[in-house]
Amino acid sequence: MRLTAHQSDRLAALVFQWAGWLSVVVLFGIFAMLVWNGAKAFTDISLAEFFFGTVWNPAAFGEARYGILPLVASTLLVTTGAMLMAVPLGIGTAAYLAEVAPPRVYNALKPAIELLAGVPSVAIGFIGITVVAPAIAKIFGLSNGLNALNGSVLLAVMALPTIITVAEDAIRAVPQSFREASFALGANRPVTLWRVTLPAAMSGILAAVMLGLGRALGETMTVLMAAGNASAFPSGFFAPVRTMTAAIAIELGETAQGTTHYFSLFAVGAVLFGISLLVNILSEKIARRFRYKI
Amino acid sequence: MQAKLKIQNLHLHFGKKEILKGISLEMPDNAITALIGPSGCGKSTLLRSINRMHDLNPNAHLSGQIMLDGKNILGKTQDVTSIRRRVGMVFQKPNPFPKSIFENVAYGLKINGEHHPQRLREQVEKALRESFLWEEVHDQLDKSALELSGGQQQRLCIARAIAVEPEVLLMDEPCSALDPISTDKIEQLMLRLRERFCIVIVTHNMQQAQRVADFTAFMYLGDLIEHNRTSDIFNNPQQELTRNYVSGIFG
Repeated sequence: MRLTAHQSDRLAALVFQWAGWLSVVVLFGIFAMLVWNGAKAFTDISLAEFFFGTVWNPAAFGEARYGILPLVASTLLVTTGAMLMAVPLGIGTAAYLAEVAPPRVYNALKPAIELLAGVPSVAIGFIGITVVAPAIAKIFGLSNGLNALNGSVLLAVMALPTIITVAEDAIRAVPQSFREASFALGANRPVTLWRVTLPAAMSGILAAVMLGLGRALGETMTVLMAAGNASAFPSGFFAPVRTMTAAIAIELGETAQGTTHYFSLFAVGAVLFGISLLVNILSEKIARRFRYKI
Repeated sequence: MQAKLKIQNLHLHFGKKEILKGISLEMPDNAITALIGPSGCGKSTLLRSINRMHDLNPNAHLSGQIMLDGKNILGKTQDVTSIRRRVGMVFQKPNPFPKSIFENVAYGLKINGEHHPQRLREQVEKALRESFLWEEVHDQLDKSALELSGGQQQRLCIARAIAVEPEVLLMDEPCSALDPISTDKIEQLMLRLRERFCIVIVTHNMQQAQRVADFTAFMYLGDLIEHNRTSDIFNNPQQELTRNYVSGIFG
Protein backbone atom coordinates (compact mmCIF):
# COMPACT_ATOMS: atom_id res chain seq x y z
CA MET A 1 0.00 0.00 0.00
CA ARG A 2 1.32 3.42 -0.89
CA LEU A 3 0.83 6.36 1.38
CA THR A 4 -0.21 9.71 0.01
CA ALA A 5 2.05 12.67 0.76
CA HIS A 6 -0.41 13.85 3.34
CA GLN A 7 -0.54 10.47 5.06
CA SER A 8 3.22 10.07 5.22
CA ASP A 9 3.48 13.58 6.66
CA ARG A 10 0.99 12.63 9.34
CA LEU A 11 2.82 9.39 10.04
CA ALA A 12 6.19 11.11 10.40
CA ALA A 13 4.72 13.75 12.68
CA LEU A 14 3.19 11.02 14.82
CA VAL A 15 6.44 9.06 15.09
CA PHE A 16 8.42 12.10 16.16
CA GLN A 17 5.72 13.19 18.55
CA TRP A 18 5.80 9.80 20.25
CA ALA A 19 9.60 9.81 20.35
CA GLY A 20 9.49 13.19 22.06
CA TRP A 21 6.91 12.09 24.59
CA LEU A 22 8.79 8.88 25.27
CA SER A 23 11.85 10.77 26.50
CA VAL A 24 9.65 12.91 28.74
CA VAL A 25 7.98 9.79 30.15
CA VAL A 26 11.34 8.09 30.79
CA LEU A 27 12.68 11.21 32.50
CA PHE A 28 9.71 11.54 34.81
CA GLY A 29 9.70 7.78 35.34
CA ILE A 30 13.27 7.85 36.65
CA PHE A 31 12.57 10.81 38.88
CA ALA A 32 9.35 9.25 40.21
CA MET A 33 11.13 5.96 40.93
CA LEU A 34 13.90 7.76 42.84
CA VAL A 35 11.46 9.86 44.84
CA TRP A 36 9.08 6.93 45.50
CA ASN A 37 11.83 4.71 46.88
CA GLY A 38 13.73 7.55 48.51
CA ALA A 39 10.62 8.71 50.36
CA LYS A 40 10.41 5.35 52.17
CA ALA A 41 13.71 6.15 53.89
CA PHE A 42 12.02 8.96 55.78
CA THR A 43 9.90 6.62 57.85
CA ASP A 44 13.08 6.05 59.85
CA ILE A 45 15.17 9.17 59.19
CA SER A 46 14.03 12.71 59.85
CA LEU A 47 14.26 15.15 56.94
CA ALA A 48 16.40 17.40 59.10
CA GLU A 49 18.94 14.68 59.77
CA PHE A 50 19.08 13.66 56.13
CA PHE A 51 19.56 17.13 54.69
CA PHE A 52 21.55 18.78 57.49
CA GLY A 53 23.31 15.88 59.21
CA THR A 54 27.08 16.02 58.88
CA VAL A 55 27.79 12.31 59.31
CA TRP A 56 27.10 9.66 56.69
CA ASN A 57 27.57 6.27 58.31
CA PRO A 58 24.62 3.97 57.59
CA ALA A 59 26.58 0.80 58.30
CA ALA A 60 27.69 1.81 61.80
CA PHE A 61 27.73 -0.86 64.53
CA GLY A 62 26.03 1.54 66.87
CA GLU A 63 23.57 4.14 65.71
CA ALA A 64 23.41 4.50 61.91
CA ARG A 65 23.77 8.09 60.67
CA TYR A 66 22.23 9.37 57.46
CA GLY A 67 23.52 12.94 57.03
CA ILE A 68 23.89 13.64 53.29
CA LEU A 69 25.96 16.82 53.69
CA PRO A 70 29.41 15.15 53.50
CA LEU A 71 28.44 13.49 50.24
CA VAL A 72 27.01 16.70 48.75
CA ALA A 73 30.03 18.67 49.91
CA SER A 74 32.36 16.08 48.39
CA THR A 75 30.54 16.15 45.07
CA LEU A 76 30.54 19.96 44.97
CA LEU A 77 34.19 20.16 46.04
CA VAL A 78 35.45 17.71 43.44
CA THR A 79 33.25 19.20 40.72
CA THR A 80 34.21 22.78 41.49
CA GLY A 81 37.88 21.86 41.45
CA ALA A 82 37.44 20.09 38.13
CA MET A 83 35.63 23.06 36.60
CA LEU A 84 38.26 25.53 37.84
CA MET A 85 40.79 23.58 35.79
CA ALA A 86 38.69 22.44 32.84
CA VAL A 87 36.84 25.67 31.99
CA PRO A 88 39.80 28.00 31.33
CA LEU A 89 41.82 25.22 29.73
CA GLY A 90 38.87 24.02 27.64
CA ILE A 91 37.85 27.46 26.37
CA GLY A 92 41.48 28.32 25.70
CA THR A 93 41.99 25.16 23.71
CA ALA A 94 38.73 25.70 21.82
CA ALA A 95 39.77 29.25 20.95
CA TYR A 96 43.16 28.03 19.81
CA LEU A 97 41.65 25.30 17.64
CA ALA A 98 39.03 27.56 16.10
CA GLU A 99 41.07 30.73 15.61
CA VAL A 100 44.79 30.10 15.64
CA ALA A 101 45.85 26.52 15.01
CA PRO A 102 47.41 25.90 11.57
CA PRO A 103 45.74 23.00 9.72
CA ARG A 104 48.55 20.55 10.46
CA VAL A 105 48.37 21.11 14.22
CA TYR A 106 44.60 21.05 14.10
CA ASN A 107 44.51 17.73 12.28
CA ALA A 108 46.70 16.21 14.98
CA LEU A 109 44.99 17.76 18.00
CA LYS A 110 41.36 17.35 17.06
CA PRO A 111 41.28 13.52 16.76
CA ALA A 112 43.37 13.22 19.93
CA ILE A 113 40.80 15.25 21.85
CA GLU A 114 37.94 13.23 20.40
CA LEU A 115 39.77 10.05 21.35
CA LEU A 116 40.15 11.34 24.89
CA ALA A 117 36.36 11.45 25.15
CA GLY A 118 36.26 7.75 24.38
CA VAL A 119 38.64 6.60 27.12
CA PRO A 120 36.61 4.53 29.61
CA SER A 121 36.30 6.12 33.03
CA VAL A 122 37.78 3.05 34.69
CA ALA A 123 40.96 3.56 32.68
CA ILE A 124 41.10 7.20 33.80
CA GLY A 125 40.64 6.01 37.38
CA PHE A 126 43.46 3.55 36.93
CA ILE A 127 45.78 6.29 35.71
CA GLY A 128 44.62 8.36 38.65
CA ILE A 129 45.68 5.72 41.12
CA THR A 130 48.99 4.84 39.53
CA VAL A 131 50.21 8.16 38.07
CA VAL A 132 48.34 11.27 39.20
CA ALA A 133 47.90 10.39 42.89
CA PRO A 134 51.60 9.62 43.48
CA ALA A 135 52.48 12.85 41.67
CA ILE A 136 50.12 14.87 43.85
CA ALA A 137 51.48 13.17 46.98
CA LYS A 138 55.01 14.06 45.92
CA ILE A 139 54.32 17.66 44.93
CA PHE A 140 52.38 18.54 48.10
CA GLY A 141 54.32 16.26 50.48
CA LEU A 142 51.34 14.07 51.38
CA SER A 143 51.47 10.47 52.48
CA ASN A 144 48.71 9.61 50.04
CA GLY A 145 47.47 11.32 46.89
CA LEU A 146 44.04 9.69 46.73
CA ASN A 147 42.02 12.77 47.60
CA ALA A 148 39.58 15.37 46.28
CA LEU A 149 42.27 17.12 44.26
CA ASN A 150 43.10 13.89 42.49
CA GLY A 151 39.42 13.42 41.69
CA SER A 152 39.22 17.00 40.39
CA VAL A 153 42.20 16.57 38.08
CA LEU A 154 40.75 13.38 36.61
CA LEU A 155 37.26 14.82 36.22
CA ALA A 156 38.77 17.88 34.54
CA VAL A 157 40.44 15.60 32.01
CA MET A 158 37.14 13.83 31.43
CA ALA A 159 35.14 17.05 31.06
CA LEU A 160 37.68 18.66 28.72
CA PRO A 161 36.72 16.93 25.45
CA THR A 162 33.06 17.92 25.89
CA ILE A 163 33.90 21.51 26.74
CA ILE A 164 36.44 21.85 23.92
CA THR A 165 34.24 20.32 21.23
CA VAL A 166 31.10 22.30 22.03
CA ALA A 167 32.96 25.57 22.68
CA GLU A 168 34.93 25.23 19.44
CA ASP A 169 31.71 24.82 17.47
CA ALA A 170 30.29 27.90 19.20
CA ILE A 171 33.36 29.98 18.36
CA ARG A 172 33.34 28.81 14.75
CA ALA A 173 29.68 29.73 14.45
CA VAL A 174 30.44 33.41 15.12
CA PRO A 175 29.98 35.19 11.78
CA GLN A 176 33.25 36.15 10.09
CA SER A 177 31.80 39.63 9.55
CA PHE A 178 32.13 40.37 13.29
CA ARG A 179 35.84 39.60 13.20
CA GLU A 180 36.32 41.64 10.01
CA ALA A 181 34.57 44.63 11.56
CA SER A 182 36.89 44.42 14.54
CA PHE A 183 40.04 44.03 12.44
CA ALA A 184 38.96 46.95 10.27
CA LEU A 185 38.91 49.16 13.37
CA GLY A 186 42.53 48.34 14.08
CA ALA A 187 42.04 45.53 16.58
CA ASN A 188 44.58 42.72 16.54
CA ARG A 189 43.74 39.04 16.86
CA PRO A 190 43.86 38.67 20.66
CA VAL A 191 41.73 41.78 21.19
CA THR A 192 39.22 40.59 18.60
CA LEU A 193 39.04 37.15 20.17
CA TRP A 194 38.64 38.48 23.69
CA ARG A 195 36.25 41.37 23.05
CA VAL A 196 34.23 40.28 20.02
CA THR A 197 34.42 36.59 19.19
CA LEU A 198 34.22 35.06 22.66
CA PRO A 199 31.39 37.37 23.85
CA ALA A 200 29.47 36.60 20.65
CA ALA A 201 29.95 32.87 21.26
CA MET A 202 29.01 33.17 24.94
CA SER A 203 25.75 31.27 24.84
CA GLY A 204 27.40 28.29 23.18
CA ILE A 205 30.39 28.45 25.50
CA LEU A 206 28.09 28.45 28.52
CA ALA A 207 26.33 25.41 27.09
CA ALA A 208 29.75 23.75 26.76
CA VAL A 209 30.61 24.53 30.38
CA MET A 210 27.26 23.22 31.59
CA LEU A 211 27.65 19.98 29.63
CA GLY A 212 31.10 19.55 31.13
CA LEU A 213 29.69 20.28 34.58
CA GLY A 214 27.01 17.64 34.06
CA ARG A 215 29.67 15.17 33.05
CA ALA A 216 31.68 15.89 36.19
CA LEU A 217 28.66 15.82 38.52
CA GLY A 218 27.50 12.44 37.33
CA GLU A 219 30.85 10.71 36.94
CA THR A 220 31.14 7.73 39.28
CA MET A 221 33.84 5.19 38.57
CA THR A 222 36.79 7.58 38.47
CA VAL A 223 36.01 9.30 41.76
CA LEU A 224 35.13 6.00 43.34
CA MET A 225 38.57 4.64 42.45
CA ALA A 226 40.81 7.62 42.88
CA ALA A 227 39.30 10.20 45.25
CA GLY A 228 39.99 8.37 48.51
CA ASN A 229 36.50 7.17 49.34
CA ALA A 230 36.22 8.34 52.94
CA SER A 231 32.70 9.39 53.82
CA ALA A 232 33.81 11.91 56.43
CA PHE A 233 32.99 15.57 55.88
CA PRO A 234 35.78 16.84 53.58
CA SER A 235 38.19 19.31 55.13
CA GLY A 236 39.64 20.49 51.82
CA PHE A 237 41.17 19.40 48.53
CA PHE A 238 43.70 17.17 50.28
CA ALA A 239 41.02 15.20 52.10
CA PRO A 240 39.84 11.83 50.78
CA VAL A 241 36.21 12.13 49.71
CA ARG A 242 33.22 10.00 48.78
CA THR A 243 30.89 11.69 46.32
CA MET A 244 27.16 11.06 46.05
CA THR A 245 27.63 8.93 42.97
CA ALA A 246 30.41 6.88 44.55
CA ALA A 247 28.33 6.32 47.70
CA ILE A 248 25.44 4.96 45.67
CA ALA A 249 27.68 2.76 43.55
CA ILE A 250 29.59 1.29 46.48
CA GLU A 251 26.86 0.92 49.03
CA LEU A 252 23.85 -0.15 47.00
CA GLY A 253 25.39 -3.53 46.22
CA GLU A 254 26.11 -4.22 49.89
CA THR A 255 22.76 -3.31 51.38
CA ALA A 256 19.81 -5.60 51.86
CA GLN A 257 16.84 -4.57 49.77
CA GLY A 258 14.06 -2.85 51.66
CA THR A 259 16.25 -1.51 54.47
CA THR A 260 16.48 2.12 55.48
CA HIS A 261 20.01 2.25 54.08
CA TYR A 262 18.75 0.89 50.76
CA PHE A 263 16.01 3.52 50.49
CA SER A 264 18.27 6.32 51.67
CA LEU A 265 20.54 5.72 48.66
CA PHE A 266 17.56 6.34 46.39
CA ALA A 267 17.02 9.60 48.25
CA VAL A 268 20.67 10.50 47.57
CA GLY A 269 20.03 9.72 43.90
CA ALA A 270 16.96 11.97 43.90
CA VAL A 271 19.00 14.83 45.37
CA LEU A 272 21.70 14.34 42.73
CA PHE A 273 19.03 14.32 40.07
CA GLY A 274 17.66 17.55 41.51
CA ILE A 275 21.09 19.19 41.42
CA SER A 276 21.60 18.18 37.78
CA LEU A 277 18.16 19.47 36.90
CA LEU A 278 18.88 22.77 38.63
CA VAL A 279 22.17 23.13 36.75
CA ASN A 280 20.39 22.50 33.46
CA ILE A 281 17.57 24.95 34.09
CA LEU A 282 20.00 27.62 35.25
CA SER A 283 22.26 27.14 32.24
CA GLU A 284 19.30 27.38 29.88
CA LYS A 285 18.27 30.66 31.55
CA ILE A 286 21.79 32.10 31.39
CA ALA A 287 22.42 30.95 27.85
CA ARG A 288 19.18 32.55 26.69
CA ARG A 289 20.28 35.91 28.04
CA PHE A 290 23.46 35.76 25.98
CA ARG A 291 21.84 34.56 22.79
CA TYR A 292 21.67 37.07 19.96
CA LYS A 293 19.67 37.28 16.79
CA ILE A 294 21.37 37.59 13.43
CA MET B 1 46.13 68.22 -6.33
CA GLN B 2 48.06 65.84 -4.08
CA ALA B 3 46.43 62.41 -4.08
CA LYS B 4 45.52 61.01 -0.68
CA LEU B 5 45.80 57.47 -1.98
CA LYS B 6 48.06 56.49 -4.83
CA ILE B 7 47.95 52.90 -6.03
CA GLN B 8 50.87 51.93 -8.23
CA ASN B 9 51.05 48.78 -10.32
CA LEU B 10 49.15 46.67 -7.79
CA HIS B 11 49.08 42.95 -8.46
CA LEU B 12 47.19 40.48 -6.29
CA HIS B 13 47.19 36.70 -6.51
CA PHE B 14 44.99 34.28 -4.65
CA GLY B 15 47.16 31.19 -4.92
CA LYS B 16 48.05 30.97 -8.59
CA LYS B 17 45.09 32.99 -9.83
CA GLU B 18 45.78 36.63 -10.63
CA ILE B 19 42.90 38.78 -9.43
CA LEU B 20 44.36 42.25 -9.84
CA LYS B 21 46.57 42.68 -12.88
CA GLY B 22 48.57 45.81 -12.26
CA ILE B 23 46.22 48.54 -11.05
CA SER B 24 47.39 52.15 -10.94
CA LEU B 25 44.92 54.67 -9.58
CA GLU B 26 44.92 57.93 -7.64
CA MET B 27 42.24 59.01 -5.20
CA PRO B 28 42.09 62.59 -3.93
CA ASP B 29 41.15 63.69 -0.42
CA ASN B 30 37.70 65.14 0.30
CA ALA B 31 36.20 63.37 -2.68
CA ILE B 32 34.29 60.20 -3.39
CA THR B 33 35.79 57.71 -5.81
CA ALA B 34 33.50 54.93 -7.03
CA LEU B 35 34.79 51.57 -8.22
CA ILE B 36 32.39 50.01 -10.69
CA GLY B 37 32.44 46.95 -12.90
CA PRO B 38 30.74 43.58 -13.33
CA SER B 39 30.95 40.86 -10.68
CA GLY B 40 34.37 39.30 -10.43
CA CYS B 41 36.17 42.34 -11.84
CA GLY B 42 38.21 42.75 -8.64
CA LYS B 43 36.70 45.97 -7.31
CA SER B 44 35.99 44.60 -3.83
CA THR B 45 39.38 42.91 -3.80
CA LEU B 46 41.03 46.22 -4.64
CA LEU B 47 39.07 47.97 -1.91
CA ARG B 48 40.10 45.41 0.69
CA SER B 49 43.74 45.84 -0.28
CA ILE B 50 43.62 49.44 0.89
CA ASN B 51 43.20 48.48 4.56
CA ARG B 52 45.13 45.23 4.15
CA MET B 53 42.22 42.95 4.90
CA HIS B 54 43.94 40.35 2.70
CA ASP B 55 46.52 39.89 5.46
CA LEU B 56 44.00 37.48 6.99
CA ASN B 57 44.21 35.22 3.94
CA PRO B 58 47.50 33.31 3.78
CA ASN B 59 46.92 32.57 0.06
CA ALA B 60 46.81 36.22 -0.93
CA HIS B 61 49.98 37.74 -2.36
CA LEU B 62 50.26 41.43 -3.11
CA SER B 63 52.89 43.29 -5.04
CA GLY B 64 53.12 46.92 -6.06
CA GLN B 65 52.48 49.94 -3.88
CA ILE B 66 49.62 51.67 -2.16
CA MET B 67 50.78 55.09 -1.01
CA LEU B 68 48.83 56.78 1.77
CA ASP B 69 50.09 60.37 2.10
CA GLY B 70 53.22 59.31 0.27
CA LYS B 71 54.00 56.26 2.45
CA ASN B 72 53.65 52.73 1.13
CA ILE B 73 51.18 50.94 3.41
CA LEU B 74 52.07 47.56 1.93
CA GLY B 75 55.60 47.88 3.30
CA LYS B 76 56.68 45.05 5.57
CA THR B 77 57.61 47.46 8.33
CA GLN B 78 54.18 49.11 8.38
CA ASP B 79 52.06 48.26 11.41
CA VAL B 80 48.83 46.88 9.99
CA THR B 81 46.68 47.87 12.97
CA SER B 82 47.71 51.52 12.75
CA ILE B 83 46.94 51.48 9.01
CA ARG B 84 43.47 50.14 9.71
CA ARG B 85 42.93 52.94 12.22
CA ARG B 86 43.65 55.43 9.45
CA VAL B 87 41.63 53.52 6.85
CA GLY B 88 38.14 52.72 8.09
CA MET B 89 35.78 50.29 6.41
CA VAL B 90 32.03 49.79 6.04
CA PHE B 91 30.93 46.39 4.81
CA GLN B 92 28.33 45.20 2.34
CA LYS B 93 26.05 43.65 4.92
CA PRO B 94 25.55 45.69 8.08
CA ASN B 95 27.65 43.93 10.72
CA PRO B 96 27.17 45.57 14.10
CA PHE B 97 28.56 43.60 17.01
CA PRO B 98 26.01 41.80 19.21
CA LYS B 99 26.49 44.54 21.79
CA SER B 100 24.61 47.70 22.73
CA ILE B 101 24.45 50.68 20.37
CA PHE B 102 26.82 52.59 22.64
CA GLU B 103 29.31 49.74 22.91
CA ASN B 104 29.38 49.35 19.13
CA VAL B 105 30.55 52.90 18.59
CA ALA B 106 32.77 52.91 21.67
CA TYR B 107 34.53 49.68 20.67
CA GLY B 108 37.05 51.24 18.31
CA LEU B 109 37.78 54.01 20.81
CA LYS B 110 38.29 51.55 23.65
CA ILE B 111 40.67 49.28 21.78
CA ASN B 112 42.64 52.37 20.90
CA GLY B 113 43.09 53.20 24.56
CA GLU B 114 40.23 55.59 25.35
CA HIS B 115 38.53 54.51 28.58
CA HIS B 116 37.54 57.85 30.12
CA PRO B 117 33.72 57.58 30.49
CA GLN B 118 32.98 61.25 29.82
CA ARG B 119 35.19 61.47 26.73
CA LEU B 120 33.80 58.16 25.47
CA ARG B 121 30.25 59.48 25.77
CA GLU B 122 31.15 62.68 23.95
CA GLN B 123 32.88 60.90 21.09
CA VAL B 124 30.12 58.33 20.72
CA GLU B 125 27.55 61.11 20.55
CA LYS B 126 29.64 63.01 18.00
CA ALA B 127 30.00 59.96 15.76
CA LEU B 128 26.28 59.16 16.02
CA ARG B 129 25.37 62.76 15.17
CA GLU B 130 27.68 62.74 12.18
CA SER B 131 26.01 59.54 11.01
CA PHE B 132 22.50 61.06 11.25
CA LEU B 133 21.60 58.41 13.82
CA TRP B 134 21.68 60.36 17.08
CA GLU B 135 18.09 61.64 16.90
CA GLU B 136 16.79 58.09 16.41
CA VAL B 137 18.79 56.31 19.11
CA HIS B 138 19.88 58.87 21.72
CA ASP B 139 17.40 57.60 24.31
CA GLN B 140 18.13 53.92 23.75
CA LEU B 141 21.91 53.68 23.62
CA ASP B 142 21.83 50.56 25.81
CA LYS B 143 19.60 48.68 23.40
CA SER B 144 21.15 45.87 21.39
CA ALA B 145 22.36 47.08 18.02
CA LEU B 146 20.79 44.00 16.45
CA GLU B 147 17.32 45.36 17.20
CA LEU B 148 17.85 48.30 14.83
CA SER B 149 16.57 48.23 11.27
CA GLY B 150 19.00 47.34 8.47
CA GLY B 151 19.44 50.97 7.43
CA GLN B 152 20.02 52.07 11.02
CA GLN B 153 22.50 49.23 11.50
CA GLN B 154 24.47 50.39 8.47
CA ARG B 155 24.56 53.97 9.74
CA LEU B 156 25.69 52.60 13.10
CA CYS B 157 28.51 50.79 11.31
CA ILE B 158 29.45 54.08 9.66
CA ALA B 159 29.39 55.78 13.07
CA ARG B 160 31.58 53.01 14.43
CA ALA B 161 34.06 53.47 11.59
CA ILE B 162 34.28 57.28 11.81
CA ALA B 163 34.41 57.35 15.63
CA VAL B 164 38.11 56.50 15.52
CA GLU B 165 38.66 59.46 13.15
CA PRO B 166 40.16 57.69 10.16
CA GLU B 167 41.43 59.57 7.12
CA VAL B 168 40.09 57.23 4.47
CA LEU B 169 36.69 55.55 4.48
CA LEU B 170 36.21 52.41 2.40
CA MET B 171 32.65 51.37 1.63
CA ASP B 172 31.97 47.97 0.08
CA GLU B 173 28.53 48.18 -1.55
CA PRO B 174 27.13 49.74 1.63
CA CYS B 175 23.57 50.00 0.31
CA SER B 176 23.16 46.70 -1.50
CA ALA B 177 21.15 45.19 1.36
CA LEU B 178 19.04 48.29 1.99
CA ASP B 179 15.71 49.71 0.83
CA PRO B 180 15.61 52.92 -1.27
CA ILE B 181 14.81 55.23 1.66
CA SER B 182 17.67 53.89 3.76
CA THR B 183 19.91 54.06 0.70
CA ASP B 184 19.05 57.71 0.22
CA LYS B 185 19.97 58.47 3.83
CA ILE B 186 23.33 56.74 3.46
CA GLU B 187 24.03 58.63 0.24
CA GLN B 188 23.21 61.98 1.89
CA LEU B 189 25.53 60.93 4.69
CA MET B 190 28.33 60.08 2.26
CA LEU B 191 28.06 63.49 0.61
CA ARG B 192 28.40 65.11 4.04
CA LEU B 193 31.31 62.90 5.08
CA ARG B 194 33.12 63.74 1.87
CA GLU B 195 34.06 67.06 3.46
CA ARG B 196 36.23 65.23 5.97
CA PHE B 197 37.37 61.99 4.39
CA CYS B 198 38.77 60.45 1.28
CA ILE B 199 35.94 58.05 0.46
CA VAL B 200 36.22 55.00 -1.80
CA ILE B 201 33.02 53.16 -2.57
CA VAL B 202 32.43 49.94 -4.44
CA THR B 203 29.01 49.85 -6.04
CA HIS B 204 27.01 47.71 -8.39
CA ASN B 205 24.53 50.49 -8.82
CA MET B 206 25.58 52.84 -11.61
CA GLN B 207 22.94 55.39 -10.69
CA GLN B 208 24.41 55.49 -7.23
CA ALA B 209 27.87 56.12 -8.62
CA GLN B 210 26.46 59.03 -10.63
CA ARG B 211 24.60 60.43 -7.63
CA VAL B 212 27.50 60.47 -5.18
CA ALA B 213 30.88 59.95 -6.81
CA ASP B 214 33.23 62.70 -7.96
CA PHE B 215 35.44 60.20 -9.73
CA THR B 216 34.67 56.77 -11.12
CA ALA B 217 36.99 53.92 -11.98
CA PHE B 218 35.71 51.16 -14.24
CA MET B 219 37.30 47.75 -13.76
CA TYR B 220 36.99 44.59 -15.81
CA LEU B 221 38.50 41.14 -15.09
CA GLY B 222 41.24 42.49 -12.86
CA ASP B 223 42.21 45.42 -15.04
CA LEU B 224 41.49 49.08 -14.55
CA ILE B 225 39.91 50.08 -17.86
CA GLU B 226 39.17 53.73 -17.33
CA HIS B 227 39.32 56.30 -14.55
CA ASN B 228 37.95 59.81 -14.83
CA ARG B 229 35.48 62.34 -13.52
CA THR B 230 32.17 60.57 -13.01
CA SER B 231 30.37 62.68 -15.60
CA ASP B 232 33.01 61.81 -18.19
CA ILE B 233 32.87 58.08 -17.46
CA PHE B 234 29.12 58.01 -17.92
CA ASN B 235 28.65 60.63 -20.65
CA ASN B 236 31.88 60.57 -22.55
CA PRO B 237 33.70 57.28 -22.00
CA GLN B 238 36.98 56.90 -23.88
CA GLN B 239 36.99 53.10 -24.03
CA GLU B 240 34.47 50.99 -25.86
CA LEU B 241 34.32 48.50 -22.96
CA THR B 242 33.37 51.33 -20.58
CA ARG B 243 30.74 52.62 -22.96
CA ASN B 244 29.22 49.17 -23.32
CA TYR B 245 29.15 48.67 -19.58
CA VAL B 246 27.71 52.03 -18.54
CA SER B 247 25.10 51.86 -21.28
CA GLY B 248 24.03 48.43 -20.06
CA ILE B 249 25.07 46.35 -23.07
CA PHE B 250 26.74 43.86 -20.72
CA GLY B 251 27.30 43.42 -16.99
